Amino acid sequence: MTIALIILFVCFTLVMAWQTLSPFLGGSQEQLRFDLLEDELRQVEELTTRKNLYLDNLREIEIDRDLDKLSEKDYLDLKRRYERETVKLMRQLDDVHGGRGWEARVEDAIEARQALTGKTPAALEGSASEAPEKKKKKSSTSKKKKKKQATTRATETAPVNASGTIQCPECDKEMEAAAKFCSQCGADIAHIEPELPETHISAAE
Amino acid sequence: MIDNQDLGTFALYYALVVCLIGTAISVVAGRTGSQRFVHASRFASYTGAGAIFVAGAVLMHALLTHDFSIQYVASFSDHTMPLFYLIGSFWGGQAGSLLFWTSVVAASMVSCVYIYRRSYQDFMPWVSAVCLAVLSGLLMILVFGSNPFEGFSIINDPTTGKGLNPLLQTPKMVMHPPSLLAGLATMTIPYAFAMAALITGNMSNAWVKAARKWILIPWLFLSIGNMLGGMWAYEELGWGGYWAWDPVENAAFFPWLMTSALIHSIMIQERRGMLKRWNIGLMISSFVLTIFGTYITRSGLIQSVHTFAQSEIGDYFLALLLTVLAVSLTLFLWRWKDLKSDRRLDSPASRESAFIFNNWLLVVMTLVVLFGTMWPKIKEGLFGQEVAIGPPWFNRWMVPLGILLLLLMGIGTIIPWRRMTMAAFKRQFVLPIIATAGASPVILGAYWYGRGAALGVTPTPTEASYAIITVVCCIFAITTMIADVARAMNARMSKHEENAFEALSRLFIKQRRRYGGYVVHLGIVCAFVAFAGNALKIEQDISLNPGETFEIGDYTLTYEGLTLENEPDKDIIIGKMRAERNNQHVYDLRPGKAVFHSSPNMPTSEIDIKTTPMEDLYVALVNHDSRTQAAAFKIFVAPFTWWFWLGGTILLLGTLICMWPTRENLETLRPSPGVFVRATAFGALAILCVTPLAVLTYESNTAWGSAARFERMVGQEESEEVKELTPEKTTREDKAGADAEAS
Repeated sequence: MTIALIILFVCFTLVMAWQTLSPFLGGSQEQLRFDLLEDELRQVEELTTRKNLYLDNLREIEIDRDLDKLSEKDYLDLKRRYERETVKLMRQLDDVHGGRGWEARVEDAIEARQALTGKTPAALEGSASEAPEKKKKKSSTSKKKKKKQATTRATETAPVNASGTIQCPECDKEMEAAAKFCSQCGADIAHIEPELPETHISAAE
Repeated sequence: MIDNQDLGTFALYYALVVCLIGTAISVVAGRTGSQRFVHASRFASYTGAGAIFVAGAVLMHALLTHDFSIQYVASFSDHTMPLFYLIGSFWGGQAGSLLFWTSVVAASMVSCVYIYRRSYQDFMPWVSAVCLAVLSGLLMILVFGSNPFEGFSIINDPTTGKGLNPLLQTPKMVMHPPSLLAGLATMTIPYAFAMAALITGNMSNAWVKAARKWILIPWLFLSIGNMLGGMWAYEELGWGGYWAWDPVENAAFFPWLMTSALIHSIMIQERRGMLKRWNIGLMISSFVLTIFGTYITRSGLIQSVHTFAQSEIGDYFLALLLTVLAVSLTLFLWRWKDLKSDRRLDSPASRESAFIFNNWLLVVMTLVVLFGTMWPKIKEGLFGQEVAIGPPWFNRWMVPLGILLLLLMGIGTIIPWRRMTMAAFKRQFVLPIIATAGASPVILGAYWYGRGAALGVTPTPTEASYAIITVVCCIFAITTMIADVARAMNARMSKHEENAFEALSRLFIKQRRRYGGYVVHLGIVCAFVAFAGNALKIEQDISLNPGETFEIGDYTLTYEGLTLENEPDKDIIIGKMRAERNNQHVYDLRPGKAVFHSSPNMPTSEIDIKTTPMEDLYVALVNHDSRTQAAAFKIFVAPFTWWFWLGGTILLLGTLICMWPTRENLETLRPSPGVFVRATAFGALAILCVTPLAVLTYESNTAWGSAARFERMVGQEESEEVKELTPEKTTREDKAGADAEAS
């Protein structure tokens, strides 16, 4: 049995040693990606931990107040302070999760596109305002991240109509601007080369 | 084929290199925040720990397969030892115990780094750096000072080993060192958080919040270790008590006292933003005292019962101690201004003040114990005079301090935060004070007239006053806890429409830390009951001939003679004694002495203790004369000693309640199956906590606790090995021995 234990620990050590070195073994692009990978996820964990601690504190002071160990005034003071801190953290969480921060980023993206096209097509606004609503419905950060990427890609790769939809380049089926694949023929819309309308190209020039 | 020596030594060297590189990577990660380096520092921690675990597994393999080509295996084990003691010999010697210590530091570091892999990102690289640096220091001692895989320089390896020290061949002694070592080793994690806070300059409460559960772990293990050590001293060494202020006992007691202070003071920082400097100072002191305790034990600086742990590595520990001290103090002074408290104390009559007084008391107690331990050595070094500081000196200081602490425990439970008004005093204190005033005379009187007076002891006025004040303070502490829990239950029952049982259980589920702490306090109260009982302790050293009787308290003991038992590895001399009370037979006692063949000059005691909640009857065979069968005994009746073990057990269970993970804590462990992991880990720990009291009760009520277990079963033919030690036989043996010497 001790032999098995030795083998187990040797394997563990070797795998961990490889993991230690792995971030430094790829190319510069991969290393850069590693630095950015899961950054948001880590931020979410960090903020959630801190938020939970403040919520614990709120529970604690409530009990202390119930047991007459904290005067009403002190309780309210502390409650206000902890709530303020908790709300601050929740706002930060919103920023990461897809709240105000995402809206701001989408706005930035629209402005950048407007600057590029020189126009303010209603289609762009439609797709931009639709995107955050959809994102809010999702709880997972990674899913939202992918969706955001997909939205960005979709708006970059296929021409957006005035009604806020796009048309499949293969079968002409109309679908939402955020779609990655065509719901009729299954074409990968995200990876089709962009075909900007001539008006857009001339405006950019 | 790679042998154990090579693989073990290579693993230690590899671990040292990885830990040194890992420290450097972690420092870069901490300074730059680069996720590549953060990732690498985390996995370097795992790699270093893995290599240390390999070394540990190799040593265990060598012990179990009797690889006597390794010096350590040959020195601390032999072929005859059962598996249980072979496992115990892993930490039975100097090098093995150090490897065990290193492994526990590595295991706790891995747990911490894994659990906080996505949180406390500003601290974690520095926590890894500090843990890896400490591990590097320990590995340097292992590699260069005390390598457990050292072989023999001669070609022929020994065919068998010397065996484990006979004193250590008891189940309690197999468990006591690892518990204590685990307590000392796990102190590294909260210390690393404190250092991370100092390095990053993040002087908020974040480090306290991150480290608070990790502070309970060393405290829990130190409590178990000290309790098992006390039990071993009580049952095996024949000290006549569970605590004798032995320097090495004291060395494990310093960090326990300091951590107890820290556990209370961090609450003040969390709630009020005060005592920031104090907390960092306490954390540094606790960690430094763990190394200091180890240094004075291993270096042979002080003489104690633990002399078997002495070796040449004291200098290495001194170097580690000075390094830790220098680095910690430098960082502490560097951040001194940033550690200013957010708020000031509002009133001396407040919860904060009670906690601060409690901290002062605990620190003063640490200083008293430290002074009592070190002063004989300091005076000998300075003036060349040898002085001895014994238990009476310690008791003179520690008893009043302990009583004050007990009183503060009661006050601190119910006193409000910030300031206490007269209205709050009436609401919180009047009922407990009235209950204490009413219950104390009833309980004291009931015990005195029901049992105490029959013991026939007249304590000195000081002892009697201390005992009475202690009992009164115990009752006050319990009434405050009951009042507080009742008030909380009422609040829940009216707010959530719960019945009493639901309200109580929900209190413990929702507020584990608070009510787990109350359970710990209840354990402390039980321990104080045992201390109060010492006032009525009767102790006698007596020499008896077979057939003679002796009276102690209201017990009449009749000595019936000696028998000799021969076991494969030892001889056991057993004294037979019969105890009566009020002319009724109550116990058959079998104290004995075991002489191991491997260590004939180191006989061990097989003490017979009959334990009840009211008192212990303790009989130790101190000496004997084989020719006349006369024997000397140490006998005492100690009221309420059982409550000390009960208190210890309650204390451990209370700590477990505090540590019980919340759902959020378990989330951090995903994707592991949370419920199973939680149930297994804490079930095992709970069993470990309850075991000492269960073993004590079992030993007290069966033959297992005395030398009687070596006697043959009733009805079995008395073989040649089992002989009555008659005067004729012993005379014959002596004569044969004398003839052999003459020839």
